[in-house]
Amino acid sequence: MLATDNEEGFRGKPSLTIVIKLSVFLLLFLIIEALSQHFVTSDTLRERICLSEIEVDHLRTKDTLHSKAHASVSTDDMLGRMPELGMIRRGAFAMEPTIRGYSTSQINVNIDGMRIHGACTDKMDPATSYVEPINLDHIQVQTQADASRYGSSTGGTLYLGLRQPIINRDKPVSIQYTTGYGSNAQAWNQTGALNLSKSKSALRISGVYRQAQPYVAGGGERILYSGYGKYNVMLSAKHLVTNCSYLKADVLIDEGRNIGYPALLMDVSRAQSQVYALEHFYGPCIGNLQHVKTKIYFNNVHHIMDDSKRPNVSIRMDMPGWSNTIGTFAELAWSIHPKHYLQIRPEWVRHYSKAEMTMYPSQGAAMYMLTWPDNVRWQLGSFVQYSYTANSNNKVDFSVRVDEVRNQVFSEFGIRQMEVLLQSQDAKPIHWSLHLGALWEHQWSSKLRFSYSISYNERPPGATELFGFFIYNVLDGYDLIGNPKLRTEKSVRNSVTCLWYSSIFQLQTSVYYDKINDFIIGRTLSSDFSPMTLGANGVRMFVNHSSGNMAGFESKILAKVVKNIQFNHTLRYQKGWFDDGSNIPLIAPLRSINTLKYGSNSRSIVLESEWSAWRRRVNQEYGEKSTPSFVVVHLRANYPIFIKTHKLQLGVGVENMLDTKYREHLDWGGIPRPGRNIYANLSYAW
Amino acid sequence: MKNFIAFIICVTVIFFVGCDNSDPEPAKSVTDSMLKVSEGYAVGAAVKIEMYVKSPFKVGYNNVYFKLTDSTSGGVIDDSHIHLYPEMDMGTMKHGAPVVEVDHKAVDGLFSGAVVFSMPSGDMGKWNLIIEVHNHKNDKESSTSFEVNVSNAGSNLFKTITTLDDSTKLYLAIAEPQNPKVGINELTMSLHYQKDAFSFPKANGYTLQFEPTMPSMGHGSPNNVQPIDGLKGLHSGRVNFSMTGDWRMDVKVLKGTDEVAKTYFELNVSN
Repeated sequence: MLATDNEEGFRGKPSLTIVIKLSVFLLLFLIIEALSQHFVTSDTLRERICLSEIEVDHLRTKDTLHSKAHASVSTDDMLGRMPELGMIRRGAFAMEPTIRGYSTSQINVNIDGMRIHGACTDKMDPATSYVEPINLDHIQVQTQADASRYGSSTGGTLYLGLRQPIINRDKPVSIQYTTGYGSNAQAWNQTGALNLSKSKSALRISGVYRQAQPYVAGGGERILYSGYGKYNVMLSAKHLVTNCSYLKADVLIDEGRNIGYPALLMDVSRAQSQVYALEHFYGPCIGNLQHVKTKIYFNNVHHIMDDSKRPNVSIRMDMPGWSNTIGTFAELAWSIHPKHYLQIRPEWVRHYSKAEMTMYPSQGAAMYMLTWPDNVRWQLGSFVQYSYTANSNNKVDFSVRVDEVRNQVFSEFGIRQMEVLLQSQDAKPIHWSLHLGALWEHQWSSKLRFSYSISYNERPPGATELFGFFIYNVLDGYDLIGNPKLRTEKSVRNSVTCLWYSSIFQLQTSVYYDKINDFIIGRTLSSDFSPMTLGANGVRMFVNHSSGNMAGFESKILAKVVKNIQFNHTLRYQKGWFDDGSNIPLIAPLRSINTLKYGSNSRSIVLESEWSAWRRRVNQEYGEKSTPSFVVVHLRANYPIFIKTHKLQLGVGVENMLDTKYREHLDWGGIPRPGRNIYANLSYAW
Repeated sequence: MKNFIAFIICVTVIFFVGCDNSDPEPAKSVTDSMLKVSEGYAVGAAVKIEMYVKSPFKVGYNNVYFKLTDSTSGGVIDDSHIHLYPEMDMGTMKHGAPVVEVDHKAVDGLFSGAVVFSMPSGDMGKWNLIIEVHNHKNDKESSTSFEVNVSNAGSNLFKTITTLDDSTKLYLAIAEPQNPKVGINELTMSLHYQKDAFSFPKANGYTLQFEPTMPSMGHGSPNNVQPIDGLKGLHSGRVNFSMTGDWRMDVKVLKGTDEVAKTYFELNVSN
């Protein structure tokens, strides 16, 4: 009982439409390419444009792919190693990131300035599942005062910067390719990228193909419905229009097929996203203006959940979802004076979402409802940051963000459904949200830097929180319904970060304490509301529930112990509690990852351990159980192979060497993680 | 050049004006959306009777509308006493059916009432609807009879039940919603009892309680409003359906606080 494809938002054969869109894109590129011959070149400036987007700032967490354990890792694996992030796992694929204990609508996940929202009511397709490491230039976790740059949020922003084509006349063609195999899930991974460059323009094409069977947990148990397959294609073209500006166009298509979710009642037969973006960048040519970047983008996500592969279900059902976003923004950076720096980022976004549920009883008529009634959210907002550099040791940033968010339910069916529950017709809630932030950075001595950040943040409720209709949550066993009368959630966040560094040692520690008011969470309704899902415990509605607190710390150490030996350490602790003393759900306990590396980057042996404490801080009301401590050990090796002048890089390793049966604390359904996995990757770059 | 611009403006204006050729809407009559089932004369009272329905007659609750004209003056009558006597002729025997009294005053020229047909027309027998009118202008009473064809379509919205305490035969019908939809539905049920073969007065002294459920899912719906007994034996409340599909509506008949009868309706809820 697969859902049909000819639904709204997804017409025609998908593969054909993609091919057509790609060909149009290629044609566009060729036109730009032909035009480019007329312009003069300037090599020095080109480099500055290429680098201008990467701001290096030691006090902020910017992980330039250090989390990449080996050549074939997934985006999820990379994010899971960053200390600020937690990953909620429902299957072997598409984990949902949390930042310092904040999740879902409390955080922003932003891809290169663009907003992209999953099309699944059960959060089976977070935006991060539609990008691959090969698409990415850097990953940035923003938790400080300027975390609202890309959208209002109470918890912070996960920013994924996309890779750009490299313009380099001296290297017209460059290729990289990695093929990898993992024994545990018989997983094949193919990753490749091609960069073509002329004097004024470049094209980058990358592709990923992954196929994995159900994996085997530590101890030998095979986890059914945990296999998946996916491909990802990205095309990016960049052209220098003048010496000071470039145009860039991106197309990113990602499609997963037959993705298993062992912790849930249903799997996904297809999850597809298409991202299109056009960007204009005006570089540092005139006066004090640093840059002006404008971008227009569109993305479309289609997600089909079904249970056709499950043998025993109480009722067969289909749950397709659609989500599309169109948006535009401009970024302006202006160095008014050597001491005064101003950044302005106005933004407009329109987001549409819809999700259906059709159930097929063994006899009688099919049952249909809208779990997300067709709804649109228009968001208009602007972020402004002013920086003042008092002297070489002190810098302060002040930031403001204001947003107006209008929501509207369009389907009459959806409005009638809502009336049954709420007895009201408030289908057009409007929210205003405000952010105010201040950050002080201080250079204490030549080896010690310090920063203090304080911010007040508001965030509007998301589509599920406003309009969700009987969305079943497997974790607590309740059906969740939205509430159009929700107020914005507010947070006051404080953090202190210290960085102590020398040529062989670097220690960074952050400590934070946040207060959250009008915390949005589902609360149980009276028994008059009977759940829709068979066997559910009851019905919960999103409300602004009292206030909560988040506190914790992260620390990172990077040490060159002796020549050729490098030690890398991360430690994090998070704690979240409501004012009534109960714990905020979905927060993992103390965790540490330690890596010892011997050798150079291309010829090395790496021993790695992941350790997590026992989780005792749980909220039983939300279906959480105490979970035990675990430690897993990985061993990796990298070795170069030379064939004439060509260099092949071989990476081999054993993950979970001791075949430990364990589960991370935010894994749903008590499903254990993969056991011993022997992998091998062969990479070639030219 | 100026002439050219003027020409363009002119053409544009003509084009747009020319496009606007929508006719003024003709005056609508309330009977336009209805079906005229029969017409005839109550000869003694000099009244022409036209009978309208919104959908063809079927088993269960049927709203019925009458337009009366004074056949001597040709004037429309908007004040009259009308009595309905449905009669099932089964050859060897005859019986009646419950009715909802017709209003004395016409609204928009139409008198409205209702008939609860207990069985379909067919081989078993045929239904006649006898209409008795009192023409207040000449103060004369007379009647006419229309044969009506009753289909079995609405049989799921009609139940006869016998009370446990005194074996009263009750006629329970859902007047609305006739086509239940997802969302809030106004609920009206009629309750009559059988006094004799031709007399079905409204059943006083009973309260109705209902509960909608979805048997295949085992859930109900929230915020339902239990019916209260209004005028004419009609019980009005609200029933909510949260999704499409097959629903079941259980109804309990209470006398005071004692449950004296129960039944259920099977409803197909559409979007």
